[in-house]
Amino acid sequence: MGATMSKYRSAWSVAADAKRIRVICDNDYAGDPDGLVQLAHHLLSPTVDIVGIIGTHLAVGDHWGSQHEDVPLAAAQIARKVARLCKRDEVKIVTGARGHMVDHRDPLDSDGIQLIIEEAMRDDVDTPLYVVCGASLTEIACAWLIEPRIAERLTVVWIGGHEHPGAPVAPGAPDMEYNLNIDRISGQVVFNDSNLNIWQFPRDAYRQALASRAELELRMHRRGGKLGRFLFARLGAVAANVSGFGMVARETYVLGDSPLVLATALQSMFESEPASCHWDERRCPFINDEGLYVDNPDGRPLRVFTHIDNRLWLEDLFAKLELLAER
Amino acid sequence: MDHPFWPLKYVVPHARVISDNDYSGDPDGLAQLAHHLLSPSVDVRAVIGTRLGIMRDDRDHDFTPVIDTAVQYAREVAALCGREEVPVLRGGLHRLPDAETPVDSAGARFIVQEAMRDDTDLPLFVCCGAGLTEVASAYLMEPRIAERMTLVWIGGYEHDETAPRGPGSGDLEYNLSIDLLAGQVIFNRSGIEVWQVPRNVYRQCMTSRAELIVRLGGNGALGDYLLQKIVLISERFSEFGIPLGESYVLGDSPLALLTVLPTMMESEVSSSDWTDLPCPRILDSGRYEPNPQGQTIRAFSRIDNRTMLEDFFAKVTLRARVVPNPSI
Repeated sequence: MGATMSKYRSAWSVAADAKRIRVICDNDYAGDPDGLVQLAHHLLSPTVDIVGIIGTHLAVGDHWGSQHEDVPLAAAQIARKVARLCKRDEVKIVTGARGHMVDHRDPLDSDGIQLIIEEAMRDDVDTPLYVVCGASLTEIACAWLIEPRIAERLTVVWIGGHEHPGAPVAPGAPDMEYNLNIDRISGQVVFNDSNLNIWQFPRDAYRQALASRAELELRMHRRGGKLGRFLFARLGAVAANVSGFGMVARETYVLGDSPLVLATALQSMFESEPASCHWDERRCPFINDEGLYVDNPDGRPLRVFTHIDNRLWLEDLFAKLELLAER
Repeated sequence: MDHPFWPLKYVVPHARVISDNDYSGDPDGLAQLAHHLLSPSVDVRAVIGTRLGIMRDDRDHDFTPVIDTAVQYAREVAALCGREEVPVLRGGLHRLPDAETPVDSAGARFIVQEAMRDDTDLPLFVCCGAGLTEVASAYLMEPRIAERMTLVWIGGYEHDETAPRGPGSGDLEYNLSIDLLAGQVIFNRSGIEVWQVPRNVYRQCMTSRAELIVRLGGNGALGDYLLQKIVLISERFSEFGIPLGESYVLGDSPLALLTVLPTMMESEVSSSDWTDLPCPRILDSGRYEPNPQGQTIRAFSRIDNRTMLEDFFAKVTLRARVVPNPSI
């Protein structure tokens, strides 16, 4: 089996110089472990040059955050563990800002913010740069405030924000969506003040990234090697945890950060786009203090994903886990 | 199967289910039943084996053998799933004689009994993959059940006039045709909350011959059993000069997807699309007439086939580790 696999690998070679895009992964890796699944998937994607990983903060009082004294550091440490399991020890991992913005014009500083600016301002590469954010927009908002020219030089892909008009809202879902709630002000800077190019997966879209326990047990845990077992254990621990909070664990897990991989690593080869997803192009609305949108007829274009191709990213993830396990 | 990393002790039932289907008809119902019975997060209270449609006036037809076979197949599937304890009950022997008279059956009586329970808060889904005789009869016996259950039904005419219709498909959809009057009782006056998967939507639940052979064949005694049932149908239709081709619609499986696989947080169906609309009246033709006063029903327009099928195939595979293929 191994020999056959390596034969096919050389038949469809993904040589190191075939990097099509650059990606900075910016996520709350100490929080919901869907971020770890996204990170592993990105790190196992050979055509993506992961130029840096930023472990970021969580909302004040967040259950996951309360387990760590320094949330960004804990996030960077667990990201390091995932990188090791992916055999990607060389990848650069830094910490993001400690806490959220307090003033719309006053940026915080962090290694993550500096990393974004440095990478965006590089003149020695011309591969497109995506900053993929699975949690708050703190780092990218502050980077833009410090160096506004980055707006011409990257695309922000964000998991977060309220449903846009017409999309279904789950019962009990608060107006203030979880990731926006981590740092509402940074969301307002990015949407309301900046000219950053945004691809958004709002709550109704990222909640479509549904996987079942049975398929995860079979294809992540049993066939996915050491990394698959690690990830499945992290997801399973959440199911155990919610039971402790009086919630009922289900047979499903929303791997809501994985559209970040779908939108970047899995673009079509020709006329590159996330060709099997659906999106609307809207005028970028304002975000108000309640986390809701206010129409802005003069807003710049905003790409809002409405349907995601779950089949493609899940099959790609399971295949990559299996191929890594064979190595 | 249980697993220490995501232990099943945390996956306690979030809903009760009654599985009501024509299990001696199209074997898509057997795939749905197996899927439900292999799902730890729902409590399958009972299975009801019902009549099917014979595409002609069936008022004098004796459906006893049809229901015998439905009950037998449902018991075979339950045994293959290791769920022999789940009661398998008989559905009604004929369609509603008029809009006021229930058809008595063990299945209809069980729906009443389960819906009227006061010792549980778990929501009750009555999942119907065929005719509505049993639910309508239960409602006519005890109208208070309307407030105490949700009907998930595979059937009915397209809601979207622009939706594609198969050539030769009539106004009277197959499952509705099994008991049109029962459908009218439910839609036109019962007030029961309905989640409906109409014809153009259940026809999206497409699988291919090749994938069924690869993913069910040799995949435990249950996988083999389900594949054989589908092969038998294919052979029978071929004998009538209707080759089934390379596709098979597992049109009853949304019953499992929609009840078993909502999200864990802010729990709701999140990966299929629907429209909430006032329940229309069903006309004698099988088509609809708007009724702005109707209770709100959830009419599905797109089904997440991926999650539905991958969860199903994974459960069959995990079950195969417990009951492998019989040695040949």
